[in-house]
Amino acid sequence: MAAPAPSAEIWNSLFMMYVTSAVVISAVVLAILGYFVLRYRQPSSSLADGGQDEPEFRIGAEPTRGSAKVAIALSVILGLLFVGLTASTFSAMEFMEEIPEDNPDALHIKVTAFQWGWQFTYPNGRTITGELRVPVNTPIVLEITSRDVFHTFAIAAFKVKKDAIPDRINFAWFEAKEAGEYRIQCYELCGTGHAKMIATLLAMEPEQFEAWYGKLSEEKG
Amino acid sequence: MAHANNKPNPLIVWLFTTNHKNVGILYLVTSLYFLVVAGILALTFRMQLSAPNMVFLAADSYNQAVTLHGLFMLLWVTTPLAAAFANYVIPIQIGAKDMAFPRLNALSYWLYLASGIVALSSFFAPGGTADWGWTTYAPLNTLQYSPQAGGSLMGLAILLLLSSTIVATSNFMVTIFRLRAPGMKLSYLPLFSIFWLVTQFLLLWAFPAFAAPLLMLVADRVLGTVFFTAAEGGALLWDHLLWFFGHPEVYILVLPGLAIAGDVLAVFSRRQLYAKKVIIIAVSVAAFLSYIVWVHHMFMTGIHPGMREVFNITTELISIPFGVIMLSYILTLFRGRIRATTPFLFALGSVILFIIGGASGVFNSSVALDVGMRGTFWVVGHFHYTIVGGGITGLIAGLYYWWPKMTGRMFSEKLGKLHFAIYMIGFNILYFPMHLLYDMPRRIFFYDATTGWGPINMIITMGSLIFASSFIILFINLINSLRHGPKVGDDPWGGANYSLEWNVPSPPPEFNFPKGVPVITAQGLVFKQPWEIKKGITTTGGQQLFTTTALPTNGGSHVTEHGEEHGPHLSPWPFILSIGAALTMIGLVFGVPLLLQGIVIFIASIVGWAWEDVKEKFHVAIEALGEKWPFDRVENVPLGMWFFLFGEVALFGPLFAAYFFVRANSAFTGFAWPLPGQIHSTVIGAISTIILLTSGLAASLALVAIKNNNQRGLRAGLLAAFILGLAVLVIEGFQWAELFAEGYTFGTDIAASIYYVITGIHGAHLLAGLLIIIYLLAKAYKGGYNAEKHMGVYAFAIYWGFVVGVWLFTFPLFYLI
Repeated sequence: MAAPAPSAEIWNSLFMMYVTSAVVISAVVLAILGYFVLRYRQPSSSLADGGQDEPEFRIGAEPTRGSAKVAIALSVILGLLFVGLTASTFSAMEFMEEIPEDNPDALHIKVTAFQWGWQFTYPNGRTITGELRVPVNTPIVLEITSRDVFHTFAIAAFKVKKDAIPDRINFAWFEAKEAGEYRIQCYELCGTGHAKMIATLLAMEPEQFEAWYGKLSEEKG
Repeated sequence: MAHANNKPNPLIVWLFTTNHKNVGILYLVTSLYFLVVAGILALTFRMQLSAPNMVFLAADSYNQAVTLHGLFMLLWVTTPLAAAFANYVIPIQIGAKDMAFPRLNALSYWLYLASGIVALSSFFAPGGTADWGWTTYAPLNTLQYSPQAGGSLMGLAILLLLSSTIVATSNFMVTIFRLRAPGMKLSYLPLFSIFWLVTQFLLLWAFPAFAAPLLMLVADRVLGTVFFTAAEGGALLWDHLLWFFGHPEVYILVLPGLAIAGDVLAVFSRRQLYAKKVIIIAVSVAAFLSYIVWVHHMFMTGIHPGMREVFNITTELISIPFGVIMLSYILTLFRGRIRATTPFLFALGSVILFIIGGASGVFNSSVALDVGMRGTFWVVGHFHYTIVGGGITGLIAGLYYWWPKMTGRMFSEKLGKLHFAIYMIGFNILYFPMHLLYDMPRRIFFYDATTGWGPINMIITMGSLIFASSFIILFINLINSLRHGPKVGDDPWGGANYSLEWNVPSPPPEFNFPKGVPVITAQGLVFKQPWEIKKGITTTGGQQLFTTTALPTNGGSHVTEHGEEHGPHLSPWPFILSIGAALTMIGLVFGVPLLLQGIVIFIASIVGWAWEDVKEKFHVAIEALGEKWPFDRVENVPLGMWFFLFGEVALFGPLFAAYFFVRANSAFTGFAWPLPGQIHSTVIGAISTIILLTSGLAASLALVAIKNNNQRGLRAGLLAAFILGLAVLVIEGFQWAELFAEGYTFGTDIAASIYYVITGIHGAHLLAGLLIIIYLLAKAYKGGYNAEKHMGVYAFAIYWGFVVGVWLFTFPLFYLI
C-alpha cells in the first residue's frame, strides 16, 4: 500500500524494520524457552513424590551458576541491535522533525484546538472550523496550540502528531502526495467530546486549492 | 493462626491485628476485591467499544470507568497484591518473627483500605468521580474543566494511599535490612525479597514525588491556587511531575511479579537461578534507569529534539537489563527437572508475555515511531503485556505457589491448569489485537464504521470476556480448596532448600519459627534455641550479634521482662486512625462537620497510640537478631526515620523543582515575579530562620544530654526546641494572616501559590514535629529515656534537622531572590 505522505512512508519502513527485528528475536527466544520446557519436563507421575528429589540450590549457598561473560555478551548483542535501530530512528526523526520554515513554497497554517474541535487559520487571516484544505505536494507548516485543555493533533494516515497545549505553540509539518480526504483526530483525552473531536483534511490539486483559497480571501469578513 | 489461651473475638483479631501474616491476608482479600471491581469496570467499557456506533455507556460514564480502572489497577490492585505476599512471606523468608514495626504495618493496610473506600465513594459523589484518565492531564484536571467534587475526592484518596505506601516502605526497608536471620546475607534471599527491596527504593522516591503534584492539584481544586491554570505552570508542569513518578511506577508494578516468576522457575526446575548476581545487578540498573526516562512519555509535547534523542537512548538502554533478566530466567530451565505445576505454568506465562511486551516497548522508545504510537491502542496493548502479562501473571503464580503455605491446603491442579489455559488464550485474544489498532486513539468512547476499527474491537471484547471468565475458575478453585483441599505439610513443592518459608508449618504459627531461630551456617540452615545463640555467633566484622531478648516460641502469648503475659499483639489504633483519616479526606470536600469528626478521631488515635507506648502496653519484641548489613550500627526506629526522610526529600524535591519551573517560565510569559522584600519581609524571614536554627540546636543538645543520661538537659532541650518551633509557626501564621488581609491569597498568582504550598507543607511538618516533642516530653517526664534507650529522641533529632534544612532552602527562594 502506497503511503499518502512522505512522513508516512518513512514511518512505515522504519516500522517494518522494528517489526522484523522484534518478531525474529522474540521468536528465537520463545522457541528456546519452549524447547527447554518440553525437553526437560518430567513426566507428571513424578509430581506424586512432592518433588522431594535433590535440588541444585541450597539456602545460604553462594550462587555458583552462570557466568558474567554470558551476561556481558548478551548486553553487547542487545546494545549493538539498539545502536542500529536508534541510528535509523534518528535519521527518520530528522526528516519528520525538520520544519521547512524557510521554504518559500511552504504554507503556514495556525491550528487551534478547543473543546471539542479544530480551527485552522490561513495566512490570509481567515479561520475555518472542522476542515483543513491544503494543496498536494506542498509543505504545510502547522503552528499548533490549544485554547483550553491539553489536546493532541494527529493525522494518523500521515503519521503526523503533536500535542496542542494551552499557552504554547508546537510546530509540525507534512506534505500530502495524493489528493483525498483524511481524518484529523484528537489523541489525548480532553473531556466528554474527545471521541468526536474530529476534523477533515482535504488534500486538493493545487489549481483547485488556489481557486478555493482565492474565493476564501475575497469573502467579506 | 495460633493464639493465646484466652482467644479474643475473631472480628477483634482481624480489625486490631498487627501480625504480618494477618495483615498479608487482609491485603490479599482487599486487593483481589479491588481487582474484581476494576476488572468489571474494564468489561463495561470493552462492551462500549465492541462495535462502531455503540450506545452502552455515555461519554462521561465511559471516561469515569476508564479513569477508575486505570487508577485502581495501578494503585489499589497490583502493588497491594504484591504487598500481600510481601507481608506474608518476606518476614519468613528473611527469618524474622514479624515486621520491624507491626503497628505501622497494620496502619499501612488500614490506610490502604480507607483510601480505596474513599476512592470508590467518589464514584457516587454528585457529578461522579475523576474523568480525566489515570494520567490526570492538566488543565483538564482543574475545577474549570472538571468541576465535580468526586475529582477532588479522588485526589485526596490517592494522597491517602501514598501515605499508606510510604509508611509500608520505610517498614519493609528496616525489616529487610535489620531483621534477617543470623548468617542470612542479602544475596542469599530469594528473588522476591530482593526485588521487593529494590521496589521499595523505587516506591520511596516515586510515590512522594507523585504526592507533590497531587498536593498542588488538590490545592488548586480545594484552596484555589493556580498551578495548573497559570501559563507558567499548566500542562507541562503536570506532565514532568507525573511522568517522573510514572515510569518508576511501571517497574514498581512489574518487579514483584517477575521476581516470583524467577523463584518459581528455579524451584520447579530444581536448579539454581542462572547468574543470580547478574540478575540482581540488572534489576538495580533498571531501577536506576527508570528515573531518567520519563520524557519518553512526552515526545510530542514540543520538547527540544536533542533532549528527545537523549531520552530515546536512555529508554532503549532499559531493555538491556530486562533482556538479561529474561534470558537468565530461560537459561535457568536448561537441564532442569521441570515440574509443570500451576505455579510453574503461570511463571512461564509471565516470562512469555513480558518478552512480547518488552519487544513492543522497543517501538515506543523510538522517537520517530512514537509519532504513530503515542496515544493509541498500541500503547494500551504494550503496557498491558508488561504490567498484566509480566506483573500480574507472576503474582498469580505467587498466589498458587504460596496458597498452600497460607491456608495449609492444596488447590486442584486440574482447575489450576484450566485456569492457565483460558487465561493465556483470553489474554492474547484481548491484548494482542490492540497492536493492530495503532491508529485508534485511546480513551475514545465512540467510533464510526468508516474507521474500520469495528471487527478488531469485537475480537478484543471477546478476549476480555474469556480473560475475565478465567478468574472465575481461579476463585472457584481457591474457595473449594479452603473447604475441601487436602492438607499439606511444611513443604508441598520441594522448596525447603530454596527459601525459609518451606521450612515452617503451613500456615506458620504466630511467630513463624516453632523449631527455633533459623541460622544460616556453612552447612546450610539449622534451627537453634535462643540461649544457644546468645552465647555469641559473630559476624565477619567480629561484633557480638545477639544481645537481645529471647524469641517467644510458645506460638502466641508473649512474656515480657516484667513477667506479664500478653495476648496476640493487637492494637486498635491503626484501624481507628485510618477511619479518622478517611473522614478527614471526605470532610475536606464535603464540609466542616465531617472534617472536624475526622480530625478529632485522627488526633485521638494518635494520642491513644502514643499512650500505648508511654505505658508500654504494646510490647512485641521484634529485635534484630542476626545479619544486619549494611545497617548494623543503627537501630530500627532511627533507620525507619532515615528512610522516611529519604522519601520526604522526594516530596520536597519536586516542590522545589516546580518552583524553578514556574519561575523560569515566568521569564517567557512576562509574569513579573515579586522582587525580594516586595511581598515577604526579609527581616521577619531572617528572624524565623535564626529561631528555627536555634530550635534545631536545642534538639541536638537534648540528644547529647540524654546520651550522657542527663535527664534535666533532655527536658530543657526538648522544651526549648518546642517553644522556639512554636514561635516560628506563630510568626508564619501571622505572616499568612497579614498577606491574606492585604488580599494576597492562594490564587493571587503563581508566585503566591507556590509560596503558600511550600510554606504550608513546611508548616505542617513543624506542627507534626511539635506533636512529637509533646510525646517525647511526656515520656521523658516519666523517665522513659536513658543513656541506652533514647532512640525516639534520636529519631526526632534527625527529623527536626530535616525540617530545619528544608527551611534553609525555602528561606532564600522566597525572601532573598
